[in-house]
Amino acid sequence: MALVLLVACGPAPAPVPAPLAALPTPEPGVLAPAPAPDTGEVPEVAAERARIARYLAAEPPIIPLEISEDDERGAEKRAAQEIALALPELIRAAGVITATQEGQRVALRTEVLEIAPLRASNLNPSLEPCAEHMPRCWQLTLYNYATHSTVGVFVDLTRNAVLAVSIQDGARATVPEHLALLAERIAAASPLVQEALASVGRTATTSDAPAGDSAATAPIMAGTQTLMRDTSCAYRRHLCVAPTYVVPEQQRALWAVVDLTRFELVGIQWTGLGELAEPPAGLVDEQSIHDSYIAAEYCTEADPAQATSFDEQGWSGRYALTDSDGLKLWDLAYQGRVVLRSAKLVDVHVAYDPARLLAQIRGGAAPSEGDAAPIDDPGYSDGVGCPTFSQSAVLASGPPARRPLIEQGEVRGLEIWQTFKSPLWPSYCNYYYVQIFRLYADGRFQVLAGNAGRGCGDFGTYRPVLRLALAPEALTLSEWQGGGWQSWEREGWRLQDAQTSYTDEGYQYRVMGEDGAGWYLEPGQGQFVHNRGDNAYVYLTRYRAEEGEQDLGAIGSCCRSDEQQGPEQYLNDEPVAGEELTLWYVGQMRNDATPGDEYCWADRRPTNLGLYEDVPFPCLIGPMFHPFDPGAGASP
Amino acid sequence: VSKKARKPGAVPAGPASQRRGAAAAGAPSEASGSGSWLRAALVGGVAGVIVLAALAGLFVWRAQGSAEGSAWFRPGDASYCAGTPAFVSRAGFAAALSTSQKFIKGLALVPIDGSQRAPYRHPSWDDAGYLGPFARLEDGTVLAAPVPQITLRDNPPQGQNTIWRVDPQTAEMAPWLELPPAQPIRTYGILDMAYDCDTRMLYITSVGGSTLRQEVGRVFRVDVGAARVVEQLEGIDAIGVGVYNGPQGKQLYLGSARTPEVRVLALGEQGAFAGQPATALILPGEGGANRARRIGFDSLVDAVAARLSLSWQEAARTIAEARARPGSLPQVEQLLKAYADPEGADLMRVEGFSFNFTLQAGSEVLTVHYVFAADANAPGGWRRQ
Repeated sequence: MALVLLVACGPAPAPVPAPLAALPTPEPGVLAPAPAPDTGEVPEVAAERARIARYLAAEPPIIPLEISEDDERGAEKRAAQEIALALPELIRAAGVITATQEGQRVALRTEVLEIAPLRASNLNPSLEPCAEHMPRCWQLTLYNYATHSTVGVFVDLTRNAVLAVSIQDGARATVPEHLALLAERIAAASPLVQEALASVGRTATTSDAPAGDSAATAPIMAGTQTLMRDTSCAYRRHLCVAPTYVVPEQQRALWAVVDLTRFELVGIQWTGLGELAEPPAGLVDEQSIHDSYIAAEYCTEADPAQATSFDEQGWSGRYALTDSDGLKLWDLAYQGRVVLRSAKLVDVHVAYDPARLLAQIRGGAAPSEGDAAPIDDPGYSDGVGCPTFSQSAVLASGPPARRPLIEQGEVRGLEIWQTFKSPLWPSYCNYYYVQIFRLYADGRFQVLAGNAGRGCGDFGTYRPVLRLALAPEALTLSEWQGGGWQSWEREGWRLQDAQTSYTDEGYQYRVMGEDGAGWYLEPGQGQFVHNRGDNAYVYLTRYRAEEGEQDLGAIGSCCRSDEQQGPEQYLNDEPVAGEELTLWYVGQMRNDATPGDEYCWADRRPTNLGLYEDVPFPCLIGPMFHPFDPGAGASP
Repeated sequence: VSKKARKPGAVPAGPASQRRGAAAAGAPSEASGSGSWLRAALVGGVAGVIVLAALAGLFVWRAQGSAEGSAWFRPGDASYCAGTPAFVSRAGFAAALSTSQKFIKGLALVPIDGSQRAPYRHPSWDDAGYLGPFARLEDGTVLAAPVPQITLRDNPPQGQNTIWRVDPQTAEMAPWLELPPAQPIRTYGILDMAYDCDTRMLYITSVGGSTLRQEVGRVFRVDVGAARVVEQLEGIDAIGVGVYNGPQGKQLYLGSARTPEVRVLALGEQGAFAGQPATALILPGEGGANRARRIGFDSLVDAVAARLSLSWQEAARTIAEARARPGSLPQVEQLLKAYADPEGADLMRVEGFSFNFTLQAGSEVLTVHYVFAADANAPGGWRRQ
């Protein structure tokens, strides 16, 4: 009737909604370092792991909700849980059991997180009997940690029966008190959290700690009521919560994101409070911590003074994440001599067989007549780089890692790693790229790029585009041609194929300075780990800063198999002998999903912890540089 | 309109210096199209699909002005008048216009009849590279904007300021209007658009030129009849945009690109910005990285009108009658029962996704669908469903 009156008489004055306070702006976060192997675990975590193991071995292998004796409706909840867990179909519906490739039965960690009276909003025809006695109907929410999925079980206590079981994609549930408290303990045990709070004169404690110490601060548990599909860990797809320490006198709050699937601290982030007494749940999560931390600490290419520098085992240099050219390493020097002006991963091209791609898009149906070109580009040209405000499609999935290079159990130098990963990897059409710089203590070095699937199908070819600006000195590149070195006089390209000649040592190219010293380049022919041959297009250009020293964006088509991968645009027949040089190296890797022979692929396997582990099958391309110096007697 | 400058409260007046362009001139024209439109779930990227379902019987209604002289518009989504392009009718199959088909560049008319038929693509539809948001006008004209997918190779920054027009008769797509970004575009420019059928204004969000430390995005108000920008909000990075006619009058809703907020801005009768954006709602709970990339509105009246092929006025009367006399109109009561909000309040549907100003594919991040019901007693005027 109100609407009709509106037409006839005009509107009644509308009440004005109360305003909302604006959100405070978070500061950059800090990612928690990986726990050291010898670090003792929080005792309650060890106890929880033992409890999980006990139930995974039980029948049914489902972790029940422990219901307090003080709970006024505890008896009903216990009865509802008993009825629900006795339902044989629940095992299948909740995906509790899976099998390994070898056929071994594995129980996946599944837990009853909440038992609550049936909500009116959940009434549907299958729950019709509950309409008349709602208080006797209960809803259980089960969470499968391995599949990050939720199942609802609806129990009618008047019939002592389960009325319905449903997969609940958008289910919300309250994280049980013991898990919330566990999260507080994990946070309070973290030096990262304690140090952050110490900076404002506080210490972290837990909500069950006795009062008394005025500096001790227990967190509020923002987010214990959470949408299960989208908890505080967007990237991990784990059950995470965010204990939050409010420091009113500073108008700030410290968020600590805790992963309850792995029982570890993800990271911390400060926010302001603005006009809020407490910050709203969900303002900070794993992604905001991760992205802001990486951006602040490592996306520093534009400000070289902020780049990470190193000087270890005879090697020195600097590196930073770029907009879309991966991790850029520059001024790489061995024992004081610069060996690379810079090196980076410009693009990764991924091309698929168009017919198979189309069939896959259509659920296996073959293309019909007149269906000639419904696909424009059967693939992608992926930029990789910074996780925010960048031109990258696959983003840095953590900070660069610099660590000892270990081969045959011995430290042989150091290596610098950077990974780029789609959030849902290894799901369909998600990607995992890697860049590795291997720096050997004897002066050899290798620049690698690779992939670990999974992409859009097992019919893909990956072509990482590496740009290597060689040492800033007059250099000449020569190619081994069946008995001698033939120098390149002009810019050009070559394909490493079946006709390619190599020295006995496997070298294809030689880069030499005017002093007679230089490097031999050994391309992959399957001799390196995770390599089945580089099959590389190599382009040689005269060094020009304007040809790629700045971020390049995507320079080539995703899907061509010929030499037109992008660097060819810089070939204009300039002389290159005795010049400063840039080498562009585009390897080609065909993926393979054959069980036991996987390459550029990824899979997921159940573990005896009741979780899935992601299993990468990497593929890597990139030349090894072997130094030689006749003056030092090191020439072969 | 920086976050820091924003004050809490409903649509406070803002300094004129933060807007450019003159107020819209002339009275809003009476739209005469029929049909309605639905914004369907988005598949990937910042892109869109519009299902061209023919919803017969709707017509545009505009009430008499109130005693204060303010106009009243048809409640609910103001983009109610979109017409079906003639070229769709000629396609000969049930179809949806889409800019988010995997591996297809630009616009495509895709079958929605379950067949494996290849999409229809006019030769000009990939001229702008990949496309993202689009809006339909009363006569079926489609206005669309380029949005890069995965790479800038097909969508160079300089091309991302252009709105393209698809002729409803010939299906030919051609540049229509150039928008001025505050700074040169690095990655993204235009991200969404919404057409107000009452005022014939098109609202367009752009984050062109914004960087990690500088929020220089704009919201443009475009007079569709004159094909020119008549006003713009400065310094606001927004993705989703929607125009809503509610109890507070005509409002523009903007999904913040930097925070999990939806902001609201009052609009004048002619569609001019009136005040500054204030926080209308916060995408609740989890996923602090979620941003509102699409905003749509459903009203009970529209739902009943569509399902029963009634005009808006007839639907309103029918609802009132069904409520006044229970049992008299079982079909209507069934619809009322099925409606998402038991109170019959208008609904705001927000699609949230993780947006970080990169070219990461929209299909590679999780999307969350939020539904809010209009509620004057709730903070911000909306309560979560």
